[in-house]
Amino acid sequence: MWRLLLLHLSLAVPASLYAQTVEELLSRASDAFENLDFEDAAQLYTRVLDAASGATLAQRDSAQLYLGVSYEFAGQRANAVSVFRVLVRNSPCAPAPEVFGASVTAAFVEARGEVFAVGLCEVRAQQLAPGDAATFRIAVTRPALVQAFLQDSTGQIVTDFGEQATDGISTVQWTDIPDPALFGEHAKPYTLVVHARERQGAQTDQKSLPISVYAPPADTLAHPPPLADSVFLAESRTTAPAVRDLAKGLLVGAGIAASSALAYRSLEGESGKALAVAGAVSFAGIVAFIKGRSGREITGNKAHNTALKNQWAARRDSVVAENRSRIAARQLIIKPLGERQ
Amino acid sequence: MTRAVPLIATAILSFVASAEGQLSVSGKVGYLDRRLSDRGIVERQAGAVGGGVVTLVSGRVAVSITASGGRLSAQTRDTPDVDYGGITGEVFVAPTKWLALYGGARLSAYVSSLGTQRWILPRVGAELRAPFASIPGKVFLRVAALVGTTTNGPTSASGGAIIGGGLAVGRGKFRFFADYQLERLNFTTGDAREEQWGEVSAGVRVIL
Repeated sequence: MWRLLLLHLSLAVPASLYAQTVEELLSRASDAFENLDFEDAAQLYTRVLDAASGATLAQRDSAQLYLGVSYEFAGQRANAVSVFRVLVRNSPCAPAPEVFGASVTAAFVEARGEVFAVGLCEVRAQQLAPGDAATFRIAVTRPALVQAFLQDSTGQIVTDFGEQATDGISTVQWTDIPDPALFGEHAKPYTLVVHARERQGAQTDQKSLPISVYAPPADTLAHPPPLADSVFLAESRTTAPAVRDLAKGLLVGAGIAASSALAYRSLEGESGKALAVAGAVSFAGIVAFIKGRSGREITGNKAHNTALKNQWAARRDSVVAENRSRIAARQLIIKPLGERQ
Repeated sequence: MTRAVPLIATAILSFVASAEGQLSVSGKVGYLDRRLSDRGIVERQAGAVGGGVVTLVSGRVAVSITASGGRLSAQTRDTPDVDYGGITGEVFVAPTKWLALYGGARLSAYVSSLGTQRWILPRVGAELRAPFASIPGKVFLRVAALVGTTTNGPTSASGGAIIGGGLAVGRGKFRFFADYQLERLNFTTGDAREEQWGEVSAGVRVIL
């Protein structure tokens, strides 16, 4: 009776006090357990299991197990089975505590036989290359049909892993993983859900686990910087040399024509001969001008520049191809985000 | 004078043979127009002439010897036909690509029914050269002064001038050239005598 009173009083202790002393409670409980003070240990483990204690799921599972063992060792079989029933319902993956002996194992097996539950076992972070499959371990307490699926934050099913008949511990594989790019580069919350239906019976159970799925960005290469204008050679000459040639021809021709005009002024006669040569000289200047303008292209430089551009394009194409393959090889990362629900 | 010509030619050719340079020979044809104004009367003789040129270029120096001749027909009344022969020796020095200074002399003879007139016409001058950038060739203008001219004629010239120009184009061993040259003499006589030679010629030069 007084223990019951003590239990109620302990329930009234504020959560903040519990949160600070869960480890202390577990330590004291462990000490009591080792000192074979099983009733004391049971009390302490019960306080750990209080909703307001702030204990983690792992601490609760541990406390649940040791509470059951304590009850069994204290001769309280019914309490032990009741506690083990809760443990199995919450954590179907928990193995039978054979280390504590046959009586404890029997109580555990009895409890497991009375409960239909499904659970996800130790979901660890997985890094998947293209083509890999994600693997999740599940456990059911009785033969069941288990369906697993992935839900997004809105509750929409993203991927259905299918249904399989299973008993005990088995694995569920996610094989047809879509393009990692669909999951984004930053961790997004998803929920991994397993739903079990008893094969002989009507009971069902469902457990879920928040996980994150994302594809970190590929380590891509930088594109080669565009070629600066300064690396290119001039592909054509200026028109100045051609214009100078024209000027030379015309000026020298004019000089020849003018000289004969001056010379013949007092000796009569024509200056046709001088004009003929002046014309030939001017014509040569015109030909040089036309040739200079049409032959401006510097073919050697044009070939050099074309080779530079082709080399740059080849480097760029190589980088694009390499980046494409790196992006295609992006891995998918699956991480548990919290505790089972 | 006639004995000096072979000596000068030999000296020049010796220089040609000993120096490291570029030797070329040219053949040319042309038309020579000779005019003489004496006491207001203009006499004119003209005709085709032909000849050859030997040139040696060594660095910035070039030596050129030209020989030409032909028959000049009378183009005015009471003017005789003459046979013309001449040889010209010139040395060019080109301090820059566009300027050459030159000096030399032309020895010419005009043989007619009236006799033979000989001239020695020394000259100093400059040639402005303008090579083309777009085609292999160049154009040039030439000016010179006739100094110390002598003749076996009764009158002597007080001086004169040369003006001319032309072009040379070509690639490799061959060059085509065309040029025009006008030589004008002034005389010391009081009746304003003038004598002038205008020649247009064209030819091919072969670099050996």
